[in-house]
Order: sequence, then structure tokens, then C-alpha cells
Amino acid sequence: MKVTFPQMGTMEIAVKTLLEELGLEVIPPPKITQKTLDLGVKHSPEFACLPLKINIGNYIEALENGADTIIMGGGVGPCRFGYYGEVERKILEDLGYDFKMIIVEPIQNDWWGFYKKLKLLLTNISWFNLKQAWQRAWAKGTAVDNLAKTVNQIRAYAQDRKLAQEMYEQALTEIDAAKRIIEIEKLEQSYQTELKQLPQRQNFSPLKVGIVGEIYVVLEPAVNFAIEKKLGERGIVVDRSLTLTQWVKEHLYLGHFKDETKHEEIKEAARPYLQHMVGGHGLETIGETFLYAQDNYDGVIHLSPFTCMPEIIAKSILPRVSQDLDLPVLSITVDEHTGEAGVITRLEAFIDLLKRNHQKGEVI
Amino acid sequence: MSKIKIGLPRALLYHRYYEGWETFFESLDCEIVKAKSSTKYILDRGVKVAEEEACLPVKLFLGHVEYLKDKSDYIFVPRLVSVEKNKYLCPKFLGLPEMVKSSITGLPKLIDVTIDLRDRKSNLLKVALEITQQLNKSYYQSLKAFVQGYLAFKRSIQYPSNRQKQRGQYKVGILGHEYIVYDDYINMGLINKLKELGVRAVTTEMLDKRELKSGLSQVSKDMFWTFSERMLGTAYHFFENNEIDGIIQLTAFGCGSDSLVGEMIAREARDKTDLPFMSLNLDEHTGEAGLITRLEAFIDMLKWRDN
Repeated sequence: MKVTFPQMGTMEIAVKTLLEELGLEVIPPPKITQKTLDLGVKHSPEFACLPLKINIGNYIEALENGADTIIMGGGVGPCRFGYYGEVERKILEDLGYDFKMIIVEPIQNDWWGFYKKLKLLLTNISWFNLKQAWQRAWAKGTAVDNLAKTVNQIRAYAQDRKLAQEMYEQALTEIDAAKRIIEIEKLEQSYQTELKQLPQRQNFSPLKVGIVGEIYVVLEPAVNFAIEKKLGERGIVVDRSLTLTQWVKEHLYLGHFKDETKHEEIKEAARPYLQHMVGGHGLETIGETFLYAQDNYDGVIHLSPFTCMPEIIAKSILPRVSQDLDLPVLSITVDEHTGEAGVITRLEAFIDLLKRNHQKGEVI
Repeated sequence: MSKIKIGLPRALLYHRYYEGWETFFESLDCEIVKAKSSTKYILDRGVKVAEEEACLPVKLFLGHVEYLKDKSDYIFVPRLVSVEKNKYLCPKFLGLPEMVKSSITGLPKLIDVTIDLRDRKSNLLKVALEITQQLNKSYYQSLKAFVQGYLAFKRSIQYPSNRQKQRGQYKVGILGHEYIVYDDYINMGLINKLKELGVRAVTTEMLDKRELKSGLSQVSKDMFWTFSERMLGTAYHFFENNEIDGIIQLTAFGCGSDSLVGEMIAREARDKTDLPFMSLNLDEHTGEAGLITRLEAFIDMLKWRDN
């Protein structure tokens, strides 16, 4: 059995470790390229949201490379993602691929189903192995998320911003290759220090921008045109509201392991504008935008795939939030036709606007 | 004292629940205000105020709210989270009151109660009491209105008025959300045109529970959207029973649930039957002439297969 899974940002690093530690042979899909997107667009429903199209591209490339089993997440709504697996399986079957698809439904709803899926995947595995595999994957996921946060803070200040990015990418490669937890932690430590010790610009007070929106577009640089890097290189301090580990903590953990404190705060912040969850990250988009305003950020960028149901609701509410809080918000919707040059132009215009606001603030 | 005027936007789930909703508000001694039908004017106003990416039905809904805002004391914009156990409705129904508030200015008061029957059906009664409190009506009145409204709804789904036997040489199954199939402006009078062409339309609402259930037993994963599940059930029922001569799928531009469920149905139709299958995607630019041409071609194909 050769397993594969969809790409999403740096998720590959943790998921690959998890599956390999469980004794599976893993064939991750190649990095997302124009070809991946073209394959996905060609075979997916026209009005499906972009993540599904990229998933299809990923699977086709992985299956061509010899994978025969796909692992995919499920869901119970109301976001379309919960039905992705079913449609994706059908599309690939219609294309004539011979493969097995394991759709992992949320544990909360169906313990027994989850256990059966696990058994299907791992015929014989001890709880100890499972725990160990999870811990290693978790260590990698955390290290990667922490470094991403640091580099987003540091990049703007660094004298050589490209160097900061290179360091971060180097760190990802090394963490990916690391085996033991101690090794992973050491790597993170040393890169944290190195990043912080980069020569910094003096007397420099950068603008701060928060990123909110739909998780796939926010986490996947190939889809959002590496927006964090682009902003950082233009001298903006970036904070990304979503991370993979935070998402897992909120959705997959059970009972008292579940970390709901952050989520409660977001819900509370969104309340004046949106009083009910709308699936996906619609509520989070509103709540996080409010929190960024409170933390004195200069602007917020809202990312979503075209036709995303929860984010359309968020997008129609955001102008009101933006006006009330006097916080500029830029909504960028991406699909297969979005051109990089267009996004750069909009980003630069947005940055100009923030700069002008900033100066105005100083004069008063 | 004049009666309280309740504006009912004639869009989205109005088409499913109107008999219940209207009876409920009338029993509360309110006056119902609504547009006679959707019009170009209403849709244009909706398109103007709505978020550009929103789906056609939501734009139409906003247009109806725009139309009603100067004519009513309250507008009924419920947040419909779920109408049956463990199911949801489309996310846009979950955020509808906020979408209305953010897109439209100069609104009267909204009755934006949350209807969530995911855990308990009895929550509906609580919602009814909440509404009557907002309208300053008595407890007794609200109970009466609730019972009458509920019965009216039950009657309406048991004996849908459109169930009456139509005549026609051919039978075509229609797959689509009720707010498209029953809005003659949005679907450009498709059902009537079919009738003129001598074709009977069979919709989800004309199937009984048993038929839907047997259709659904074929589906590999439980569908979590109530109305998409009904659509799937209908589709599989059509595939299995040789009662109809062809299937027309009606979707609206930007419909998220149809983009996946509709695709599944179209692909399954290819595998499971050799019935003619046509998919029509409607938006505010769809021209009537184009639609008629496609319909006529489709019916010609049915006839041609018959010979």
C-alpha cells in the first residue's frame, strides 16, 4: 500500500512523518505547480471551490507516481469540504484510476467508524506506536508553525529580507528530514535564535497586517501567491490567524485536550456582526478581524477561494466591520484565473493606502 | 389599531414554508406583505446591493428585502440552521440575517430568529414564542398560531398543490432547489413551457417519503444538507424507476451545494441510466430565447428516442 494525501501549505511535513512512523509507504504529491492546477481544473466541476481542484491535481500526480491509496478528511457540514471526498473519489474513478480512498470522518461523531478506518489503514499497530507517531508528527507541526510565526515577524525588520526567507525554507527542509523529537526541538531552537539575530534595520517602524480567511488559501503559498513572503519583503510585519496545529487542536482533540479558549474569544469578538457559525472559517474571519483591530494592526487581508460559501457571508459583512473599526480590509478571492501580477498590484495599492493612513496618524 | 405588517421575502425557503409562515403570522393578527412574484426590478435591486460573489437565489432574496423595506413594519429573515436532526442547511441560510443587515440600509426591524432543529424538534415552538414576544402578542395567541401554522405546513407538504395530475405525453424529472423550480421569474417559466410542449414535470415534492428513502439508500455517504439530500434521493429514484423519459437539472449561478452534489448526480446519471440528461445553469444574464431553444432541442431528442 502506497499512501498519498492532499497538499496544504507545510502540512506535508507533519503528515508524512505520521504515516511513515505508522509503517506506511508514503508518496506525497509533488509540490503544487501550474500543471497541478491545470489537471485539477480540467477534471473538476466548474463551480467547485479551488481547494477541490487542487486536491484533484495532487491526487492525479501522486497516482501517476505510483500511489494507490488516498487519505482524505471528511466532515459533517455545513461547508462543502465535508463532501469533497465523495466527489473526488467519483472523479478519479471516472478517470479510470485504480485506487482506494480512505475518508476519515471526524472522531466526535463516530468512534467506531474512525477505529475501523484506522484498522483498514494499519492492520496491526499498537497504541504505543500510534502515540509515538502522533508525538513526532506533532513536534514537527508545532516547530514549523512557530518558525513561520517568527519569520513573519522578523522578515520586515531584517536588513536582508530574502535571507530571512531562505533561512526559513532551509529550516523546513531540515525539520522535514529530522527523525527524533529532540532533534526537531533543537533545530527549531537554533533557527529561532538565528532568525532573531539577523542584522536588523534601525529606526524602522513597520506596518502590521493580519491575514484571515479560508484555511486552504491562507495556508497554501502556491494558491495565495506566497502572500506572507510578498508582504514581508515589502517591509510589512505579518500575522497569520490560522495555523495547522491550532486547527487540529480545535477540531480533532477531544474532551479536556480540546483548546477552545481562543475560539471562544473569536466568537465573542464576532458577536456584534455575526452571531452564528456559518461553517468553514466564516465566523473566524469576522472575529479575527475584530481582534486585529483591537491589537492595533494597520490592516487586514482576507483570502478566500471563489464561490466559498462561508467566506461570501464574511465578505459581505466585512465592509461594515472595516468601517466601524476604521480598519482597512482587502478581500482577495482566488481561482484558477487569478493572475499574480493583478494580486501584486492590489497588494501594493493596499500597502500605499496603509502607509498614508499611518502618516496621517502621526501628524495628528 | 392597524395590523402589524410583516414582510415576507418571496425567495429562498419561502417557497417551501410559505403556507406555514403565512398562516402563523395571520393567526397572530398580522398583515402579510409580499411581492406578487419576482421581477426584473426586484432581481436588479438585489444584484446591486449584494456581494458580487453571492449566488443568484441570495441576490434575489436581498432584492425582495429591498422591495419590502419601505412597505412593512417587520421583515421576516429567519436564520435557518437546521430543519432536521443532524443536518444543516447551506451556510448562506446560517448567515442570512447578517448578510441582509450588512448589504441593505434603511431596514425596518427584522424578525431574525434562529431556527435550529438539529438537536430537538421542539425548538421550533421556542422560536414561535420568541417571535410573538417580539410582536407583543399573548402566550395563548402564539400557541394557537404555532399549531395552525404547523398544521398548514404539514398539509402543504402532504398535498402539494402542484401534485395534481398534469397531462402530457412525456414525463421529465426536474432536479433543483425549490426556490428555483417554483420561482417562475428565475427559471423563466420552465414548468409552463414544458407543459406547452406537452411534457409533464416531476419534481422532488411530488415524490413521497418512501420513494425518496429508497433513492437515498443508494448513496454512499450521508448528505449533510437537507435539501441536497432530497435532491440526491430524487435523482436516484429517477435512475431506478423507469417512470420518466428524461432529467433536467436546474442550478443557479454560484450555488455551492449544487457545484458538488449536482456534479455527483450528473456523473451518476451517466453511469446508471441512459436517460437524456440536461443541466441548465441560470443567472441574471440568462436569456429566455436561449433557454427555449435548449428545451425544445431536449424535447425533440425525447421524441426522436421514442421512434
